[in-house]
Amino acid sequence: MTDAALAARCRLQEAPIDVTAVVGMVGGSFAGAVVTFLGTVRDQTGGRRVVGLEYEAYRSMAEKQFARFVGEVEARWEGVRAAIVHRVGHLEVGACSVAIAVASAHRAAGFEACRHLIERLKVDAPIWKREVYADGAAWVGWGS
Amino acid sequence: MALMWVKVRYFAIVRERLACAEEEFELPEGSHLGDLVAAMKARHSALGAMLPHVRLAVDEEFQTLEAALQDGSEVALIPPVAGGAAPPTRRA
Repeated sequence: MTDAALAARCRLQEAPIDVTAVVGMVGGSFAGAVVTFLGTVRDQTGGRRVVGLEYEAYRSMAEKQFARFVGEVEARWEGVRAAIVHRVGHLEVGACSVAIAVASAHRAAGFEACRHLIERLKVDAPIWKREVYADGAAWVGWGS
Repeated sequence: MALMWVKVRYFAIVRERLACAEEEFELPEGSHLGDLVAAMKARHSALGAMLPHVRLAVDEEFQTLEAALQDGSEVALIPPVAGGAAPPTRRA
């Protein structure tokens, strides 16, 4: 697998995520399973009503980190192929903010690799989330 | 002593509080990330309180204060990311 082929499966975009297209990036005749994870915009946090989210990213680094995470799982779980697509910009409640797809010969590796990818992304991808409320907004992860 | 320029990028809450998305710093050749952080604190009084909560990246890789800088390096301040996990503390 070339670096370019891997990078093509790791991206940020303003446009809504086409989940079928993300699955299509990883599927193939080798696959007996495709595991997907979708992050979606929730309508409340800690009892406060959320009306939307704004995602900001250090885009070039985030795509590089995605490629690193995908490289990790493809090395650790033999025969898996993974993709990560994340949105930036304004998202309405219910919208899909991130889609991860992992194809594998057998489901166990797919579930494990998918979990690994979302946990890595949540810690080490330079992407920030600003929650918009009816009466204000706040950056998530900052405290006050 | 020869000088070099590095670009610094600010994101999310740091960008908002400094009212700045990116700027350049001139440093002596051979400077490290820690030297740049000292220069940034001197320029932005609001930065000191935020620094313990941010990570630093050089040319799109997380780095520690000991990392060497080159002319043209791109440094970024990375505040806590969307997952909300506590980042390792970096002291300047």
